Amino acid sequence: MTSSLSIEINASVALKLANIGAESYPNIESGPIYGFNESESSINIAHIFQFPAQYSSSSSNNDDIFNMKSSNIKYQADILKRLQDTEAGVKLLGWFLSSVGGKTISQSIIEAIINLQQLNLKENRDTTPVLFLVYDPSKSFDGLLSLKALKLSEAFMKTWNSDEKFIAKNLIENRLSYRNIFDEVPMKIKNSHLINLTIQQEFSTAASEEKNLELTINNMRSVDMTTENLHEAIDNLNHNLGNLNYYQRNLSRELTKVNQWKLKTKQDNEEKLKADPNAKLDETEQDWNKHFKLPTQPSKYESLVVSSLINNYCNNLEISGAVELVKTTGAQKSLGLN
Amino acid sequence: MSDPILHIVKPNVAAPFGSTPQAPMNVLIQSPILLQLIESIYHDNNNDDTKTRTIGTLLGTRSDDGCELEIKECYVVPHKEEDDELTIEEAHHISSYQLYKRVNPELQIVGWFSTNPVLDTFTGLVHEFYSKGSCFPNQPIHLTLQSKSEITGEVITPIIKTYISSPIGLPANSSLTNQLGLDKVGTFAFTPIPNSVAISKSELTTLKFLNLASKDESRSVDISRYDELKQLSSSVNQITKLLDSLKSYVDKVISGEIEGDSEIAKTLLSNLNFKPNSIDLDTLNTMFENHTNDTLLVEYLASCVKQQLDLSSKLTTFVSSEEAAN
Repeated sequence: MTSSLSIEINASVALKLANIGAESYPNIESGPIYGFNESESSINIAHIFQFPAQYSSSSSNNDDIFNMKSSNIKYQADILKRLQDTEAGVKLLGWFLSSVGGKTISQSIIEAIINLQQLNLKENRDTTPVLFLVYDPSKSFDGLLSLKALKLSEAFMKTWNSDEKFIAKNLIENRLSYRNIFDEVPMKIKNSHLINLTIQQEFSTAASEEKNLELTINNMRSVDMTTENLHEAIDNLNHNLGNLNYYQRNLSRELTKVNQWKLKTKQDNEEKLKADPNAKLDETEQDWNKHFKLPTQPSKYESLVVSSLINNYCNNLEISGAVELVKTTGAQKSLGLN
Repeated sequence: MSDPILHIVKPNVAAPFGSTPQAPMNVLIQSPILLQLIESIYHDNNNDDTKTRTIGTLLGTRSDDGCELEIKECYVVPHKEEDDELTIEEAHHISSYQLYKRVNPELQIVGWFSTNPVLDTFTGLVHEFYSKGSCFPNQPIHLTLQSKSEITGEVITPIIKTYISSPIGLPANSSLTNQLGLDKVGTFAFTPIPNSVAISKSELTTLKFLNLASKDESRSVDISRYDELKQLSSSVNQITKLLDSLKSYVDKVISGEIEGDSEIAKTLLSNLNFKPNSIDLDTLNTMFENHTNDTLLVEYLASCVKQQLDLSSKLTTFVSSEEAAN
C-alpha cells in the first residue's frame, strides 16, 4: 500500500531548508513540515518552519537531538492554525531535521513519529505515514545535496505493535534489523510554473557559474564531528551490549540450575515409581517454573536504535572518504604529482 | 533583479518627530523568500470579488545605518476589499509575527507585499495600516509582484518591484487638516528602489537542482536518484566533457580551421602553467600521500565498525527463555 508512496517538495521549501540548515550549522535544527495529501499515494510538502528552541550538538545527551517539548507541540499547532486561515486542507505532515554526519535517529524521533501517526489514525482515520525529512548542511557547502524523506518501515511498525515488542523473536519474525527502521520515500522537487520561469530567468546563470562547487576542497569538519559522535554512539552500544550479555549469562546460569533440578526430579520420580508403581507423583519435570523464575528478556529497542545510528555514521564516513579521495587524486594528478 | 531604474530623488521620510529614520536604499531578498513570495501569487482567486490581490507581511532586518534592508520571512495576511472599505485581519498578522519572532528575535516588520503591481487607493490604505501600526516609526517598504503582462494579460516571469514611500501633503492629524475637515488617509508618494536576491552557498546547491527541474518538462527532479557519489560522478563527467570541448577547440585552432581567441589562450596558459613555487614539490607530494592515507584509513575503520556491528547484531539474537528451558 505505502510502497507506491511518493513525495513532492515545493521548490521554496527545499530552498528554505538549505537556508535554515546553513544558518544553524553545525547545530542541529528541527521543525514541523506542512502540506497536502494530493491523493492516497502522493504527498506535497508546502511549508516548513523552525522550532524556536535551539539544540546544541555539543550536548552529551545522545537523545536530545529531537525534542518534542510541549512548547514545541503548541508552536506547531499555532502555526497550523495560521496556515489554515489562508489555505484550506493543509495539515501537519511530520518534521525535518537538519544535522551533520548522519545523526538522524533517536528514540525520541521514533516516538514522536509514532505518536503523531496514532493521533492521525484515531482522529482523522488518516493512514498516511508521518514523514521525516533529513538534511545535511555540511554536504551542501561542498555542493552536494543530501536531502532524504524517511518513514518508519512496515517491519518496524509490526514489531512495535506486537506483544513484547522488541524481543529477539519478534525482530527475526518481522525481519527487522538496524538497517531498516526507516524506509526512504522517493521524493521530487517540484517547481510551480511561475517559479520555473523565475529560476530560468534569474538563477540559471548563478547556478551554473558555481556548478563545480562539489569539486572544490572538502570541508573536513563534518568528519571530525562524525567521528566524535561515532565514539559516543559506540560507547552507548557497548553499554547496551553489556546489559544484554549480563542477561545471557544470567539466563545460562539459571538454565543450568533448572536442568539440575529437572534431572533430580526425574530421578526421584523414577525411584518412587520403582518402589511403588502406583505412587502419586508430587511434581513432574514440567513443573520447574514453580521453583525458578527466569530473567525477563530485555528489549533490543535501544541497541537497535544505537546500531542504526552507528551504521549511519559509518556510511557517512565512507561517503565522505570516497568523495575526498576523488578530489585529492584529481588535484594530485593535475599537478603532475604521483 | 535590478531594474534599470533611474534613481534620482529619494523622498524625504517626513516622520512626525525629530529623529528622521533613514530610508533604505537597497532591498535584499533571501532566495527562499523570493520563491515563497512567488508562491503567494497562487493565492490569488479570480472568483472572489472581495479581493483584487493577495497581500502579506514582510519580515526582516535593517542594517545599522538603515541603508540596507534584508527580507528574511514573509506570510500572507487575509483581507477583504469591499467598495472603498478595507478589512485586514490584524489578529492574524500580529500573531503570525509573534510566532516568527520566537524563532528569530531580530525580525522586524519591514513592509508588505502585494500580488497586484498597480499602485492604487487600496495600496495607499494598506500602506497606511502598516506605517501607522506595526512598522512605526520606520516607513514600511512596499513590494509588488507582477505575474501577468499589462498589455496582453499573458503569464510572464514574475517582476518584483520594491518601493519606499513618504506621506505627502499635510500630516493627517495636524490641526489644519482638522480645520479644513479633510478626511485624509493613505496618501503616499512611492519611489521605486532597487532590489537584489541574496543566494548563499548552500542555497546554491539546492538551486542547482531547481535549475535541473526547470529544464524538465514535468518541472520536477527526482532527488532520490542522486546520492552524493552520483552527484560527484556527474560533475566529474561534466568536467571531462568541458575538457573535451576545449581540446577540440584547441585542435581546430592549431590546424588553422578557426581563428583562436587570445583571451582564451591567456587563461589556458595561466591555468596550465600553474605550479606551486612556494612549496617544494616533494613535500607537497608527501602531504598529498599522507592525506590520502588518512582518508583511506578513515574509510577502512568505518567499514570495520560496520562489520563488527553486523556481527554483534547476529550474536545477540538469543532464543527466548521459555524455548531455552523446554
